[in-house]
Amino acid sequence: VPSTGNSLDTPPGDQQIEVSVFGPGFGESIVVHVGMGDWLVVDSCKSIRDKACAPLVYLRLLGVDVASRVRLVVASHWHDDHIRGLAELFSEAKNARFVCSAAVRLPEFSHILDLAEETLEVLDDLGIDQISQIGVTEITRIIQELETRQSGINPIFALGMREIWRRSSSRMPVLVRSLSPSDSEFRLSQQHLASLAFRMEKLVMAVPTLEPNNTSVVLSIRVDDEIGLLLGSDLENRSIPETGWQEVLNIWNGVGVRHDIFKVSHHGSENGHHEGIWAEMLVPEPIAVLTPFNRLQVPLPTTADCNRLRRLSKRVYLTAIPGARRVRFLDRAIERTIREHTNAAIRNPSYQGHVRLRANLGSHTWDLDLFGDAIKV
Amino acid sequence: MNPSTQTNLLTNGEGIFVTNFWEIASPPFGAAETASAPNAFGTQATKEEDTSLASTGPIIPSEVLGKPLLQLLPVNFPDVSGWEILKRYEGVVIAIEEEVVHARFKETADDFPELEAKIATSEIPNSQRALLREGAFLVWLIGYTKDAKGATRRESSFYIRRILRPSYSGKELNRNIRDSLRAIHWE
Repeated sequence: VPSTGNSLDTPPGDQQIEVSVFGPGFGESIVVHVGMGDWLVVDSCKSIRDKACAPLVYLRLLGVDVASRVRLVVASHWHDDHIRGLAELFSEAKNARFVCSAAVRLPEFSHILDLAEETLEVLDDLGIDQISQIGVTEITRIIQELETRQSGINPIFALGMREIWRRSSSRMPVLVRSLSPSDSEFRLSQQHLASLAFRMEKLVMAVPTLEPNNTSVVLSIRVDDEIGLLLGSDLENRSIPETGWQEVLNIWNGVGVRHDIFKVSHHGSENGHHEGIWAEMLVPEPIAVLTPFNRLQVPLPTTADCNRLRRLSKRVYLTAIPGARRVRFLDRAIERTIREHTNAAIRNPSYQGHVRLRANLGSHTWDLDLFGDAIKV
Repeated sequence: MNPSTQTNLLTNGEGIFVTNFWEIASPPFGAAETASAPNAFGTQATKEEDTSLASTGPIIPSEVLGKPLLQLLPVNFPDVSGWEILKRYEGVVIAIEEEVVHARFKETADDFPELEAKIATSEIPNSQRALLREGAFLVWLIGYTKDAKGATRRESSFYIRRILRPSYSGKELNRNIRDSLRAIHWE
């Protein structure tokens, strides 16, 4: 695999664009340097080694002043494979604007958060602090942090084709747009949340996940009309009109430059794939980066997913090997018991890696570095 | 406190929510399938909706009278006094497929990476399967037990925590997050 040989802690140049994708097998985070020392962070995950917020550790390693140089912190959606550590990152990034799906403004959403918080409080009072609903914990902490922030850096809710952030520098102008969720997704999300609240209000407590993937925030980042980055989050296709990737295509309608780099949606799954995106929104042979997801019976991406992606580009990179390590214990009795009483038991995440891409403005040649368990597909 | 007063409080339901929350008594460990299994009160509560702990006349041990209801139904319910516990996991059901429950477990709060397991539904006691749903709290115990002859056996057992929502009692939900979200100016 081609590699620049740069060490992990070498910061990008002032004129360099960087896209770093972290993905430990369960979780992902994208860190983007849009030049001139400005950074954006989309989602967060934890490092296996030190259990710390991976994007925060990386930015500190590069010597970035997180408090002043991180401009945007985006929660693409509230699944716990996307937001572990996001509140910690946001509380450090004092000058950053927070972005998430417009669904957060629905009364149903806050009602669910209240119910889930109540559940977690009860468990805590029972002395059970192992159970958490990461989505609830992280967003609650972010909301608390938002309350303390000064006006002028208000949070922004994302919708289809909405300008999220702009840097009007003549040297390196930047435009960040959200391409989802669509109006239809927003309405469907409201129905889903109302149904979830109804279920949660029942007698016995439970903490299900907050939102479906279809409220995911897809971002398009343009630097000086030359470089385009498309961050696909977990958006999937569905058969309902004006939703999913088809709606992104509809509203995109050929606006602006094509994208050089694609953070592949939903871990490369077939349901997150849309040929039209590759044909109309990406340059030929784009660089595609994806993260694995190990929770299902068959980890994502599958072999078929990898073959499909390889057909579309020769430059496809995975942040870690799909799959997870089997649980091991020093005590053989425990290990044997677990093996006998489960169909499968894994430590998740088990692998972690980092794909880093850098290019100078004016050049479409991207330097690649693969760290940890990252591989070329 | 007069024992009969306490019993009456429990019997007529007025005292149930005195501590705001409690775990509904589950059939005891190892006897989950038996309809006659008593809970910590010597009563039965086999249905999710059965909140009447004292419907068959509870026997309240004198040492627990006056204590919060939470303590009457301890966290490690059902009884595992005969066990030598090797591992105790608190878990959450993350998906239910046909005949398989997929759950995430932690031993301690900062246990990471987490343990994920796919468990055959048949591992969950029959009486608790109706409670299986995404987000349900699943406890997993691994340990040794001794039979009547003193022989040691390795055991694994799952049970679902059944915890009442405080607002079920009519208590108004504390709407901190709703109020906070209203106070934030979004663009």
